[in-house]
Parts: sequence; structure tokens; C-alpha cells
Amino acid sequence: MRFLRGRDRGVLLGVREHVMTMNGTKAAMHRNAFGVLLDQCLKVTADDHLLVIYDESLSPYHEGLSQALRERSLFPTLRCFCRRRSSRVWWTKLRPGVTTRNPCFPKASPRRSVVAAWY
Amino acid sequence: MLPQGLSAALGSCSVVLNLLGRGERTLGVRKAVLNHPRPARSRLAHIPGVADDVLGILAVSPIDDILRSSEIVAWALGEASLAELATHGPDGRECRLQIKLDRWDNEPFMSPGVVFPGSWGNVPPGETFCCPNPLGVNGTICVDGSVPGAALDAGDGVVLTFENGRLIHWEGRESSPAHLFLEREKARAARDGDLDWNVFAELGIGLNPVIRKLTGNPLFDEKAIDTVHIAIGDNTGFGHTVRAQHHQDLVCLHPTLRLDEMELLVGGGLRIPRFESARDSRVSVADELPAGASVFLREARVDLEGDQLLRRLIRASRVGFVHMGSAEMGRQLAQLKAELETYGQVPWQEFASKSPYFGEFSSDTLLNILYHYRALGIGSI
Repeated sequence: MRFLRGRDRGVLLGVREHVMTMNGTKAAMHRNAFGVLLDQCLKVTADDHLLVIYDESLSPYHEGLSQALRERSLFPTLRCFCRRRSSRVWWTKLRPGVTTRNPCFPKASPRRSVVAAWY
Repeated sequence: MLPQGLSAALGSCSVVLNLLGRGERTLGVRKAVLNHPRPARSRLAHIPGVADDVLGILAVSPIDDILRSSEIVAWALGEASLAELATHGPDGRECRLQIKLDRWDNEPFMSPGVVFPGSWGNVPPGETFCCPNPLGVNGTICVDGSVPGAALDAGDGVVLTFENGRLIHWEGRESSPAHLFLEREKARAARDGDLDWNVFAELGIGLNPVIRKLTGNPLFDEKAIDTVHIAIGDNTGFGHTVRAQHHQDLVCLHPTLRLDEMELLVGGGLRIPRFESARDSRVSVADELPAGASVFLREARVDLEGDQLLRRLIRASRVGFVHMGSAEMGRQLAQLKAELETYGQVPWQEFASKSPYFGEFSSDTLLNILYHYRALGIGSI
């Protein structure tokens, strides 16, 4: 094993910091972009009921979107969305090739839960 | 057909974010989401394929500026009866395309960034466009910006010739991506029996100042500032009648676009203030109302913004708004609207004799303004 010293170590740390900065910048950019979408394009307010339809292509951007929603008190947490009846956001992930109907969507009262539909 | 749960959600939510990926695989469901009935004032943003470049542009797009220019360009298109588009071919010769417009009888569409209630919009935003009657499109145009799948280099421009709205000929370097694209489309259409693949479908003006580099992705390129795009093929998605398998956008760099007597673009540069001033300083239009005619307000074509009456553009579930004159005129039009609604349908001269003035404007003037914008109907309701 070779220990990194002095300049080499600084270079390595510099690269690592750069990568971290890039990731941090990108995540912030995603959040900002979704913020523009929610505030300026769609003018979403706390009275709105928001439906998000997405597929696996959203994966790299999911966190940025959920952060933007959280900042606006539209969606307190991503992980427990299926269980939060107070949530004003539905997430609908569409997956190709699966024909199962969403079993947990309450047809009579769609506002109470999050849609997880398939096609 | 959409799943039951999704249908129910679409039917009762007020905002939809459609973030499905691009491509043929999701095309059906994306279209189904767009076409599914939604509450009357819901808003839908459609981002076919979220990506870093899409979000990067969205994050810095000046939405307020885009909204303003989108509205003025819509007003300019709505006012015009003839568009003349000047471009330059690879050999330097000037190309001219004449496009007959039908003024406010053929409403323009706005993609201003703001998604108005009852509307949907693409992201990134930034264009205003119209779908002219193809029979009124004649002349030549140089496509030198991009075609679907390829941004063009210098010298790759292809000169297209339209006759009565149909693309009948194109010439340019045979290795140009634009030339190859058109040849491919022609062969595909012949194979598929796609008869109207080459019919003129759209004239659009890019308005997003953040988009300056063309990529070959029409979603971006058609919004790029300093560009005009035309489209060939289908425009039924905009509520018009050209039916084809595809809608293909072709982008031109630095064009000059004249609308009747005024230049909207010169070498790609927008002349927004000039049109804004023309709109706001206009105090009357030519009298067009037939004497003795009964009139009624076309409610769907107007809406209040604060205390002003605006012309609502509504077609194919796309909504936009333009001011019909100065702020003061907008206020007086709102007053007239309230008065007119008490009548339902009324001979306009009878209305004008009972309520001769609204502020400094005569009723005759305001009624003719509304009729000019096709917000006033004549005859039976």
C-alpha cells in the first residue's frame, strides 16, 4: 500500500471534493429546476392536489423532485408515501409489461392515498 | 387504456406532472394521459424524458420574460393575414416563404412556461406557433438549424420548396443530415402509405433565451431563441386537420419574419417592444360589425385577469391569454362584458345607444374590438 502524502494527497482530495461538489451542484440544480416548475410554471399551492406520473427514467432525479416538494410542504417524506393519508401528492410509477392493477388504490376515495399504477 | 387508479386520479387532481421517459415505449400512455379528461381548471406539465439538460435549462429559464414575449408574438400572429419568412440558402441566395394567416380566426398557441388553468404545457418552455391553412403556403425556405435527430453544420442547409402547402422539392448537399432526413421520411411515407407526411403543419417562433445551441432534439430546438421552425406532417394534436404518422419540426437560424407590414424578427432578433407598443397604443380597429346584427359574447374566448378583460386562446386543451389593448382598454372591456352579459344577445346598435360609453371608449369602438378578436359572435347563440 502506498500512503498518499503532500501534493498527491491534495490532488486526490481535490478530485474527490470536485466530484462531491459536482454531485452536490447537480442535485441542487435538479431541486431548483423542479422548484421553477412548481412555483413559476404550475404555480402549485398548498390547496392543490398533485399527481406525479413517472417511470424508471426519473430515478436520478427522484430525490431532487421530492426535495423540492418537501420544501413546499407538499410531500413530507418520500419513503412512507403509501401510508400517509395526509399527503397531497400521489406518485404513480408506471412499469411496462406488468398488467396488475394497483391493489391499494381506494377507488371510492382517491384522495386518501397514493396511486401506484401499472400498465 | 389507462389503469383504473390512474384514471381516477387524473379525474380528480388539480396538477399533473407527467414525467414518463421519451420514446415509442411510452408514447401511447403519454398520449392517453394528455387526452384523458381532467378537471376543468387543472394544469398539466409534460416533460417527455427528464434529463440533466432539460432541468438545467428549466432552472435558469426566465419564465416572466418568456411569458411576455410569448404573449406579444401570439398577438402579432393573431393580427396578421400574411407572414413572409426570409432565409438564406447555403449558396447565399435568399429564400422566401409566404404563409397566409387567418388572423384571429385561426388562434395561435403559446408555450410560455406558465401553465394556465385548464391547460397543459411542455417543458422546457418557450415558443409561440400557429397552424396555418396549408393551401396558403408557397415558396422556398432554407432549413439550416436542425432536423429531428441532427443539428446542422454550416453548409448543411437544405432549401425546401412548398407549393400549396405541400413540400414538393428539396435541394442541398446530399450528405447533409437534413437531406438524408427528408429522403428517409419520403421513403418511409411511401412504404407506410403516409400520404400527408410532407404537408405544412406549423409555423413557430423560438422564445427561450437560455436555449442557444441546437441539439437535434426538437423539444429543445424549437424553443431556441433567434430561430423559427416549421413543421411538416401531423397537426391534429393541435386541433387542426393534417393527419400523418409524424409531426416533424425543422429549425431555421437567424430568419427574418415579416407579418403584414411589420417585421417581427430581423436576422433572428425579436422586435417585441415595437409590437407591444402597437398593441397598447391602438385605440380602435376598423369597423367590421355588420349594421343591425345581433351580438353575443363568446364567453370561452375571454377571461378576467384582475380588472382587465383578456382574449383567451383555447384550442386542443392548450390555453393562453393576450391583452387586447392597453390596460385601460382592458378595464373598460371588462365593464362592457359585465353589461353585455345582462342582455345575452342584443342588436349591437341598440346596446350602444343604451350604454354609449365605457370610460373614454365608445361602445361602438369596444364592440368592434371584441369582434375583431372574434370574442363577439353574431346571430344566434
